[in-house]
Amino acid sequence: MIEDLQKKAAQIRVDTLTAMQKNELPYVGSSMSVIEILVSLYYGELFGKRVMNFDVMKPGSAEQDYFILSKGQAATSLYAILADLGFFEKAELDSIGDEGSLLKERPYNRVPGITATINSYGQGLSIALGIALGLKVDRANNKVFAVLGDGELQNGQIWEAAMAASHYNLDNLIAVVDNNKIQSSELISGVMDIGSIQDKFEAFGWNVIKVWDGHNFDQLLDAIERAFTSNRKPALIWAQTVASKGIDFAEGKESYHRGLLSSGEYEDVLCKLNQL
Amino acid sequence: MTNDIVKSMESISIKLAKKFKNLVVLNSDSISQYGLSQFSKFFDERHFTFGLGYSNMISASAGFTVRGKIPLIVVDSDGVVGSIRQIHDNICLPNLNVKIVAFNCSDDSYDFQAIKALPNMKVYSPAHGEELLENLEEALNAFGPCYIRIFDNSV
Repeated sequence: MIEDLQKKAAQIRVDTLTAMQKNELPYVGSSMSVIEILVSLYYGELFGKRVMNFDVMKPGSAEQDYFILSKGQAATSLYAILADLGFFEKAELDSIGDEGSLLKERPYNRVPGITATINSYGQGLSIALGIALGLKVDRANNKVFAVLGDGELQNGQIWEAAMAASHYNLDNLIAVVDNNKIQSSELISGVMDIGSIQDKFEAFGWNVIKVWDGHNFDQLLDAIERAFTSNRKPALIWAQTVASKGIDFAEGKESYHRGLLSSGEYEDVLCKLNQL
Repeated sequence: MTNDIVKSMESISIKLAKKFKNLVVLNSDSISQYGLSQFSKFFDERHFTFGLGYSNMISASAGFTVRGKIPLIVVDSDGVVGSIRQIHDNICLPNLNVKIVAFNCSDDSYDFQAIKALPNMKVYSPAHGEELLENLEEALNAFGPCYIRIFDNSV
């Protein structure tokens, strides 16, 4: 299964990069660092069942789990997965952000498979919190997953949500931090150091699970399995990732994080990724 | 005027909770100040306090709508002005079914100037308790974001 997930990640990486090149979309670094996290949630399996429960043919069903991409700048990676799963036609990836097109540059709730509109940073965890509280009102066991960027942890609203999730004992809420260590075109530590993510979330009452390699499916699935057993506490998976992962000359480089690849670079990367 | 409306809010919130089974109330801290003591007592499982984390409360309301709830946010006008970005991004832009009751509004509170610029938002300004009930029933029967502005000329 791990090999299947690795192949799927390579395919999603190609689809994402192709869509970004066609539509001249920024944030290559952020879109590449999150791919294994997203693939784990959408394609990974635990105990013979898919990690995240969803049915393309029954959107909005009572049994489904919920996903919020708080780091909305990586929407293209999510769109590539949703297209691959059949939520909409793959051709929609050719016109992301165009006037009148289905897909906006940031997640929009009218898109099949997208739960919430994310227009700016720091809001996604609060929306996930609201869904988790709504599930508790209904006494439903569905899970809520939210993927956060590390840069957006500088936003105060994240900590308002972290406090509330702990206050309400939301063990149905699992957040994943894509800790690629770069924001915009600079190192986070130079802009505004966020310090120890683990210490901060633990101080807010969360169960924190560290993933040393956020591109390793064994580690990611193990962390998700542990998050499922969190009792009366929200769980945070702190995943160490590499910005621009999969693009060897750009990995971990600030200059590529928000930028685009040149056409030559894109062809080179495409050739390598297609061999995987 | 606000005191009268606060008193009427106690009975209005109970009446609406019985009529609208998906209604949930979100508020910051002071339950009695906003006429929610009775609601909190009888519908505790549908009442959520967020402290002074206004932005979190506004964005969380969007999450409640995903589960088919109708969030009624009861808040001070300061909380509204401080969270305009969240009201715009998370409620108005996606046109979600969230109702906001804002207390302590005045000519100097700037809430109306900010709110009236938002897409899809419908604004009410009840003069007394009877109108508040009428406005809230109309707002809850309609789909989309609504803002009920409680004016307080003593502020």
